[in-house]
Amino acid sequence: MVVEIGHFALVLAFALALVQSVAPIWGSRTGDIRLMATAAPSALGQLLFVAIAAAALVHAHVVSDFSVVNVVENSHSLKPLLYKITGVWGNHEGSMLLWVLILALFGGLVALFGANLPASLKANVLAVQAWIASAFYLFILCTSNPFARISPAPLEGNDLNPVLQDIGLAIHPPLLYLGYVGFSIAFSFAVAALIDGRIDAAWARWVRPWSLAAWIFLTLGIAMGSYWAYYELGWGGWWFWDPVENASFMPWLAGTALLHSAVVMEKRDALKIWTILLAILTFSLSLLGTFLVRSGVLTSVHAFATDPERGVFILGILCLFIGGSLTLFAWRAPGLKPGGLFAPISREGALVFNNLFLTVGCAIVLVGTLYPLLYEMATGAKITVGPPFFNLVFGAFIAVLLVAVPLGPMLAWKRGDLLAAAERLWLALALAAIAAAAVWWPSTGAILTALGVGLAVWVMAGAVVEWAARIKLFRAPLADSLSRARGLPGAAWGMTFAHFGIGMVILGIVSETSWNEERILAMKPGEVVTIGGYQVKLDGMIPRQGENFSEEAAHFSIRRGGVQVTFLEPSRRMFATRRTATSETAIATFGFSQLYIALGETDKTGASAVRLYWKPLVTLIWLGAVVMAFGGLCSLLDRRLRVGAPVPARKAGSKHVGPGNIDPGAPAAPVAAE
Amino acid sequence: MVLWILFAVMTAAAALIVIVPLNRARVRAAPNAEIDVYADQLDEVERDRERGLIGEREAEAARVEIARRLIRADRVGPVPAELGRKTRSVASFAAIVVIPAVALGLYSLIGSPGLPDQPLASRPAVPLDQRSPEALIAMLDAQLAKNPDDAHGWDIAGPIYFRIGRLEDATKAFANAIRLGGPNPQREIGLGQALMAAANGKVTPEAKAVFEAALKLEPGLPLARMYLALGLSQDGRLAESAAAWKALVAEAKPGDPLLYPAKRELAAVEAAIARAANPASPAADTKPPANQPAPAPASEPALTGDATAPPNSDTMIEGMVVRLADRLDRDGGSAEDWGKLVRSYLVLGRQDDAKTTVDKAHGALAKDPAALAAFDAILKDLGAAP
Repeated sequence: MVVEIGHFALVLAFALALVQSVAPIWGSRTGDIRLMATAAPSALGQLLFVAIAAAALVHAHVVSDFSVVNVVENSHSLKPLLYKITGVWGNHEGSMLLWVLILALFGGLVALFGANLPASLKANVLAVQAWIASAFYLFILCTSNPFARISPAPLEGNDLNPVLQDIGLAIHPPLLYLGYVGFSIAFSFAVAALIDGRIDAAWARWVRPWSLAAWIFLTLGIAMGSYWAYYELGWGGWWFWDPVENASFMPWLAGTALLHSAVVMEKRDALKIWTILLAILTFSLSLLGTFLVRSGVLTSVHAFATDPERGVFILGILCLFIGGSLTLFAWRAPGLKPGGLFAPISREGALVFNNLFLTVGCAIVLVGTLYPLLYEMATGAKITVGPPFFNLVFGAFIAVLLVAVPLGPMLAWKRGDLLAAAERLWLALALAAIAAAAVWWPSTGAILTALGVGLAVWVMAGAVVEWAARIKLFRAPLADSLSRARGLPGAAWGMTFAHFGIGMVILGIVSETSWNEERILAMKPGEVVTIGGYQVKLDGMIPRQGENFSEEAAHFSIRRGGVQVTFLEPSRRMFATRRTATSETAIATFGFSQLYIALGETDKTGASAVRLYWKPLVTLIWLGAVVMAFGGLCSLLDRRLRVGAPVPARKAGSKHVGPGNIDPGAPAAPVAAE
Repeated sequence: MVLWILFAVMTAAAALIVIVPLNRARVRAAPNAEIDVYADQLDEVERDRERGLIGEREAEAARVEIARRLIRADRVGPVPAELGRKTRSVASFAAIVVIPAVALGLYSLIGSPGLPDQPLASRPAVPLDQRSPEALIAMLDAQLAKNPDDAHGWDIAGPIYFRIGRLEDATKAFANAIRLGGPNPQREIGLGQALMAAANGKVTPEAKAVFEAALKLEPGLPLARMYLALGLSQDGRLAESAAAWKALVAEAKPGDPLLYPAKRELAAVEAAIARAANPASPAADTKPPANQPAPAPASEPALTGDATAPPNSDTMIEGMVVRLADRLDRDGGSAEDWGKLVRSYLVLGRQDDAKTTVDKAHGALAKDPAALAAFDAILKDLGAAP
């Protein structure tokens, strides 16, 4: 009964989404407040029903109800409880349900916390959100129903792909989907604004927390995915320019550009049309990612669905929403007047520079990802666009942007002075030069490494210098500086952290690629290998039995200068049900660096194939992403974003709701100097 | 019934979600949200000016710009209309009709309301003999994972793993049974066979040691001797092999299932000896006579254990046939088991033995008409009339 209730709840959510697609927008076009008022309850109702459906599916997985096809195909009664739950979204149907659950969650959040939005904007946003939701409900119910039943029920399931039986599956997809799908709100805001024909500074302020939240989740999701691939795949790589990774990276680049251009729009009423376009593009890239993963055009760990029917359906959704929104944009955008003016060298100019480089960088990734697919379609021949292309073209391009990162925040709004900004950054520049020289000196010739380290220090020091200048550190009494720091808006803190985090990521990448040590050898018990200054000794093999696998672990003791510091136990696991083996790596972290061991086969003589890596400062890559996400959180919690919290005195007087005029373009003036 | 009541409640709730806001007695117009944003921006300019983040003149310019937006926002916006009573009824009616129609219509197409939940824990136990082989094996895996120290469990598992071709698991199972339950000839033979099958029918040194251990436990054990003799001929020690086969043939009673393979192997080994002594003589195959068909086809893995068994593993297969025949003679068995034995003889080209087995089976199954019918059906499938 629980299964069928979940099934029916999903169908009801679809029915409710259909009503939500029509009624609020009808209300906003006719100016009727009651019809508009149906939007929020419908969105919350949708959330309730999808949540019931998701809970029912999780329940079916937990109790191993093998009358549900999805459970049979992806679960096993012996699987540990955690993987029974995470296995719900470890497959196509279940992950689509997670997709719409998050879509409904964001709709529900807008309904709950959107009290400060103009009624017509809120109604339109929720209606557009319901269009997306309806399309995906229909997709799920028609082609990928997680509630399909089978009778008589088999006695046992096929188990989950062992590679996915990992804590990573509990974290990575939900975070990534919160990011991907979260950008649907920015998309809905953009389309709603185009429908209303009204876009102004206030719009940017309303859309910003939503894009920021999505961006935070996407940043964490990508970082988590990267770390998961790093420790699960056993090759020590953390980014492969795999099309599916690119599919998540492209919305991130576009979303980062969106956050920056929304700042300009909010502060200066400028870049409005561009910001709207970016909001549309960001979610379009998310949809493209969904299509790539589920249509079967790719072969990868992530590509679960290879059914052409599904591919065609998603392609239809893709064309409908991207084509539809761009058509609407082409129709409405010319009617929007550009806002504030600014000189090329100014904060706005710097943010335009940022947007230009991020979008072109995104285009490079897009071309590199799609070109092999299109080429294969056209000629039938397979080619690969490998990491060298991305590293060279994208890397070189983004390096230029990164050089500019510390300069932008130093420029004033409207018109700035580049030379003065550079002067204020002399300390950062000096630190970067010292770091680069220090690297270059001992290892002569490694000029790229030296430049990379210099760039990383430049970005990090630039962020700190900017922060210090803002609170007048050492130029005012300490107490004064501290009070300034306390008064610093969350958005300013956020920028400092996010830019510092970028520097950390660069430092991690440069250090890992330049000073990475690697040993691949056959070791017998008792053998010792030295790597990264640590003596690694294989003590012996230990057979172990897990709940649904048996494993052969190798015990390594790690010594430094003769003193044992830790031990590592990488293993090989054999999963009987799917008859597959996985390799579990073992990693020890020393400071920011890591010692990484992966275990291969053991041969007849008792020697085991072992891959050892010493990865200096590698954790900075992910810690940097966490710091960036923390910066996003600071900015999200900025009290100034909670605008329009109902103030009683004002509430009584105002009863103005409805579409306003197209902005006539006010004369430019600086708004705030941060 | 309860399910349909719940469906009705859910549908009603969904419809109410839409209808209630449409028919609320009073609607409150939302405050003009834009004004709040700009007012807040004005405050912010003031704060920035106080902290010295911007100069007095810049602050003034910003205030002017924001004030302009504020005035514009305050001026615009038609007062929201209210639906006429009639339009409201139309919208409500649409909600009442559309939601149930879509939900129930779609659900009736794709739902399975008649199918109850079947969580594993509360499913009625299916009688063992009605379960699929996969399910039984999964149960066995689960049982062993739970009680890895149960020698009896490993005893059962070994031959099963062997039959379905999980040779590595079979080897482990027999070895575990020996480790936990102590060595006995059956376990040793099983382990030896699993090792041989894993080595594509070759009597490896490991397998040889196992068979010798079995022989130590039960001196003269014919099966162990048979495999050891086979190992000798594989190693090229033809004279010793011939002697071993001769001894086996000599000891075998008439009708002993071992007799046939022993005689055949003996002939093959002697032919090889003759050829070695006189290389000019026409080459006689050292391997089974030409009328021996290839080993059982892949669709019948029960006896070969390994579908990829090479053609020269006939003797090993016959060893297994011997075991099955012994067991059926001693303990009897089901119609399927008898059928399997008949089929094995047919596949090996031993028509007479097949006929004898059919007669034996009829005798053994005479008391059970259902089993007898099943057996005859199997024979029909095999194309061998009873």
